[in-house]
Amino acid sequence: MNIPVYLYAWISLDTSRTPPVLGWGSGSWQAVERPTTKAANLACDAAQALMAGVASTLRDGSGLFIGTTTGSLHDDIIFDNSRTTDGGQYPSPNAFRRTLPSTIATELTMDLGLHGPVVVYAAGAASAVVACVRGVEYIRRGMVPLAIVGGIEVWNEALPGGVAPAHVSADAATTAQPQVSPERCQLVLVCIGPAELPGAQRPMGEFTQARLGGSNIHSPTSVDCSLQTLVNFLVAGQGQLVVDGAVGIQAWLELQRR
Amino acid sequence: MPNSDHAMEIVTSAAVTPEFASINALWNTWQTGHQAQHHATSPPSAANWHHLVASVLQQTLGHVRDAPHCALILATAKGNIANIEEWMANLRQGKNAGQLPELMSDSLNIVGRKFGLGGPCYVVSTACTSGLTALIEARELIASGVVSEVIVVAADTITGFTRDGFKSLKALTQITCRPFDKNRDGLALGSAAAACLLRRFDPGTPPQRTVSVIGWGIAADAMHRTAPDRAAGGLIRAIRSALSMARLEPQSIDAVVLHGTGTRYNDQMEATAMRELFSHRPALSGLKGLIGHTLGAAGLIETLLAGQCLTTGIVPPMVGLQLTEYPDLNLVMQPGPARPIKHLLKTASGFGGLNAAVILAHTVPP
Repeated sequence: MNIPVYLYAWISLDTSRTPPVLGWGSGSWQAVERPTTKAANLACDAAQALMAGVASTLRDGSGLFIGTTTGSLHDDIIFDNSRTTDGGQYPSPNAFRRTLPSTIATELTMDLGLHGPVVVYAAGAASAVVACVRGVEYIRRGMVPLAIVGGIEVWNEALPGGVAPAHVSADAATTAQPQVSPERCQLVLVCIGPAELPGAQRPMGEFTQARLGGSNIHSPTSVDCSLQTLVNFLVAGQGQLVVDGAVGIQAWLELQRR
Repeated sequence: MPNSDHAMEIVTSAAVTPEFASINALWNTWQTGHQAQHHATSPPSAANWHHLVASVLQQTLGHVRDAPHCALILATAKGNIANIEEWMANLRQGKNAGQLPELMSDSLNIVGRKFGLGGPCYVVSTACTSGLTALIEARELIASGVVSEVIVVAADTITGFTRDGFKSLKALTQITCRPFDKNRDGLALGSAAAACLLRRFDPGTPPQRTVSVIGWGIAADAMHRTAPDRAAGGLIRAIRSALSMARLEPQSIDAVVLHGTGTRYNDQMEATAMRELFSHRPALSGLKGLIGHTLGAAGLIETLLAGQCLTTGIVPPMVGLQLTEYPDLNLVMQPGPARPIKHLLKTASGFGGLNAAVILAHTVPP
């Protein structure tokens, strides 16, 4: 089976910026309106917008293929604090429930009612693009009728690249943007599917190539800079994206505008 | 669903836990049905995690034909949690600011770069289904023609972080892990690493029976962050997908190696799925009474041992089970004689309502 795979819509968010929505690939969207601050909630809002109008029969079996480098580190720190304060008497079960790299992906399944395959990938600086390539492959082989692919990173002031809450909200304070999160969250979510997608808008482009390659494992992993290169690629709306994940993987995506 | 790409085999496998040095040692003990004295006793050091992963990886390397193109997939729920825990302890003391701990892909980098594998290399992390999901990914990489060989490694170690977490959920047993037992009271945690080499079947080699993955399914409950769906909706969907891909009817399944954690809700959910799908009462067994719940490693290590069931025709007992709560199910309670097993189902379920299923066959590839 070799089903053609199309790009239907995408959303990119970075809560350290004002406004946080960097790009929106289909129609209009009122950013994130609810006064939520959690990265998972922002991801759910974004995914809901991507799936708006998609027939429920398709949505139900949709796949979710998400890349992440930092995984649940932000939530690991929260749980670790709960278990190491007060003599370790009160480790928080609610905090522990969030300490898996797959946590946000599974919250997306709950929020959107997705019952299809979920796979979370880590491949250094190629994580998000690896997730996209694998998602395209799962559709191409007829394994899922539709997929949300992309990458999600949640930062913490303790991490390089993370921004302390005071700094995150500096711009927001002057413009009173309630959607700016104390967790710095970067995400790119992309809706992909085959040609016939009842309820969806016209596709923006076709993935003419999506493949993984290998290389020598050669250097320490860097964080997932593929989120930004993926955004640039989606904004361009066509062309080729090649990322090197520094864990022995290269990922290629080629998009042709429709 | 495609069905033309069964021609791949599990060429070799390896496993190690703090109590068992090899897959054969595990298999021999499982057959007796006896519980090992253990669980969560592995030294929680970063070096230990690397050692576990490297030792199983090394055992598969000798069988790789084309290392420059062989892919490597690491399955883990928490990665090198001992390192992360150490990093967080330093963080509390004001050290480490601006530095990252060993992230999952770093672990792969540290271990993998020693072995000269040149194909695609990445981590799969889907909670306690990670090992099974990684095996499915490997199968799909071969089926779609990306590579001909994939090494799958699955590993997780137990530290204070994980133990405190499961304790906070009141999920740990106070006595011993007894899956499907009337008196079960929770799970036991265990550290483990497992690896296997999956290869596209070479039509030039003489036809011989081999263990292969002929069907798979992954499905989400979409219900709760930790608790499984009481109606087993996700697990049933995953198994049905696997059956459909393998073009099998439920009655073709001869045996099932269950996830069987020993928690009230997990075992109840799996019992519901077995009743719903398998009226012919296939033999049901499980390993967590022997090695504990090894988190992201569980799916792979248990699948590799399930492969031994296929090749020997023996389904060992559900370790820890003494007084069944489910007399209507064919839970194996005593060692029995060998009998032909053509198709075996392996399932795994995890936090967030993730479910995975694979069907193994012991056949001559098409």
